[in-house]
This record gives sequence, structure tokens and C-alpha cells, in this order.
Amino acid sequence: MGPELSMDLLKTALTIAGGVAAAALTGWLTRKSQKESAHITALTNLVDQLQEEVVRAKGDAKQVPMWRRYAQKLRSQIYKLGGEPADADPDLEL
Amino acid sequence: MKRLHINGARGVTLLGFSLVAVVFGVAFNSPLAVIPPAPAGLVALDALIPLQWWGLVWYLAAAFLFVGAFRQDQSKSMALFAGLLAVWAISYAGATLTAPTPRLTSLFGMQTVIFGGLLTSCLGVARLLNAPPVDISALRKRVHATEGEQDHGTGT
Repeated sequence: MGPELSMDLLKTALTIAGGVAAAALTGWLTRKSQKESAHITALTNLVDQLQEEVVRAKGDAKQVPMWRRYAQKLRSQIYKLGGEPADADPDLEL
Repeated sequence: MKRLHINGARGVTLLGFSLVAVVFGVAFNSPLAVIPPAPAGLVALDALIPLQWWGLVWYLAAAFLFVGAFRQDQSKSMALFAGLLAVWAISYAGATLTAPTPRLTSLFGMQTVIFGGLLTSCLGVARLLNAPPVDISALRKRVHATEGEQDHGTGT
């Protein structure tokens, strides 16, 4: 094997090694970016779900005063009928 | 049947890269091809299989990039394209330093810049974050609406 051929082989080996290194780096960077994208997607979906929960909870909270008024009406009805309504739980804030 | 979607901004860029790879394929392996002298780093490969046939790998990279544009995992198509670009850029850079005539130095230098520039943009695109697949404007409107309700409820 002549020195010229060995030099050509060395140059080719270095070139291909550079190509493999660039491919590995690009693949690694792409996978890293894809992972970050997946995290952002998951967080965005979580925020979306939280917003839905907030809207639903607000809807439920609007029902509470109506239930309280209804309970008071029922209690006064029981008093009118001469009965004694059951005591509320001590923890319950009316 | 599942509809095909280009996967994000990186997918769109991959489609562009696939066209670039087809152009390189045409430049090295087609009736229109004007084969330049083999650059320094590819002389041994050229002796084994002519440069013209190595040009076929560009078509393969183009096909990979085209398919990758629609896939969730785009790392493999990006890696193949970047690897090829690096091989050609390094090879032409070596040839620029050892070119026997100023005309060839200029020719190889230009090729180095083209392949090196594309490799740089390839690395940049690799760090691109694809946007989450949700309707962000609708989400933002809903967040504002909820904040508005809260402000109204607390009297602020």
C-alpha cells in the first residue's frame, strides 16, 4: 500500500468520522427538542384541563346559595308543621 | 383512514431539505449531472465506487426527509441528512486547502460554504421546538374569560 493511498484512506476515514459525528449530534439535538416539545404539549394540555375544571367548579359554586335557600325553606316548612328539623353537622357552615 | 399531517415547523423544513437533497442527487446522479473532481476526503471512496453512484445516497436522504416530515420522530432523517452534509463539507474543505489551481480552490471553497451553511441550518432546525397541537388562541381566550369572571366575582 503506497503512502498516497494510505493518505487517501486516512482522509476518507476522517471525513466519514466527521459525518458520523455530525449525524450523531443532529440526532441527539432533534431528540432533545422533541422531548421538550412533548413536555410543552403536556403542560399546555394540563393548563387546558385546569381551565375546564375551574369553569366547572364555578358552575357548581353558583348552585350553593340556591341549595341554602331551599334548605331554609324546608326548615321553616317543618317548623310550620310543628316538627323539629334535624340538626346540621357541627362542621357545616350555613 | 388516518389523515397525514406535516409534523410542525421542523416538518415543513424537512420538506424543504428533501427538495435540496433531490437537487444534490440530480447534480451527482442524473443525465444533467456535471461531476466535479472528487474532493480530498472522497478520493478513496471514488476509487472504490464512482462519485456519481454515491450521489444516489442523496435521493435516499430526500426520501427519508420527505417521510420524516410527517413522522413524530424526525431525528433519524435529520441525522442522515446532516451526516451527508458533513461528509461533503469536510471533504470539500480539505480539497479547498489542497486544490492545485485558484479556479478549483474557488470552486471547492464555494461547495464547502454551501454544504457547511446547510449543515449549520440543519443543526439549528434540530433544536426547533414543534408547537403543541392545541388551539392556543382558543385556550388564551378561555383563560382571559376565566380571569374576567374572577375579577367580576371579587369586585376588582
